[in-house]
Amino acid sequence: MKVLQILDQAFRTVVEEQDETILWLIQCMQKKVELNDIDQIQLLLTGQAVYYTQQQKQQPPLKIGDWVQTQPANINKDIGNLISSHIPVYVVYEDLWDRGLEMEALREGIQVVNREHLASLFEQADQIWHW
Amino acid sequence: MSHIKTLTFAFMDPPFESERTVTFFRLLDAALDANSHVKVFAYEGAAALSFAKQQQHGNAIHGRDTEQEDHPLTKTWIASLQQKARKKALSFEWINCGLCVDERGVNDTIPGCNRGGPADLWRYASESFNTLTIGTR
Repeated sequence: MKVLQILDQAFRTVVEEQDETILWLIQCMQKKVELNDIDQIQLLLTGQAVYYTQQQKQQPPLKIGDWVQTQPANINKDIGNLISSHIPVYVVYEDLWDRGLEMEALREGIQVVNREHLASLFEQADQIWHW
Repeated sequence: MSHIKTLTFAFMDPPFESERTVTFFRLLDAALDANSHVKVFAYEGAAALSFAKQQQHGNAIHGRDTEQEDHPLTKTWIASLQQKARKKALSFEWINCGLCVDERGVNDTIPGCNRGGPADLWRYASESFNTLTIGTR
């Protein structure tokens, strides 16, 4: 089974979960998927989630009173884990352009697709999970 | 071979704060109406939907006591869907993300709702005709 995960929402739950919750979910499922040659997870970043292609630092720690967060989310690391696990990671070019995000800041391993090519990307998947 | 389809739903919203929760339950109900087996993976806030200690309360502004108010509870909706599935000889499976349950302290669930993890979502999806994910906003 090939599942295309579409991540559109960004930075939800990042502070309290100390990760990007869908990127976490994908990493968990990948441990099962990589046990065979049939299953595959792909990730498509659209909308606000295209900001994830630009992350280079760990999120700033939250401070409330004397309490200081010690393990803030590291989205850059999460994306790197997906790429190193051979999960194809795509980003929509027009969504980058709409936000003035520079192509040069894209990390290696992320594939840029145009909106006009999304239909073919959708068609090659058995299931599409839109988060 | 059975012609009955199985549908998987992954849901992230908590019991009372979002209208998506109501829509989600209506979709489950409609899936059973359409004679589909149903599998649910409750993620993040949705892990509290089956919490057994949800309690009804009265509402003084409404002028009704607890019994009269009959406040909706998601655990009751789940139980109702379980019963509906049984009557129709359909399966209705429910797994809560265990870590999400721990975070919220909602370990005490109604019968038929079990603890699991992302691997169960993948298994559910693999066994299903299709999967609907409803993320939080």
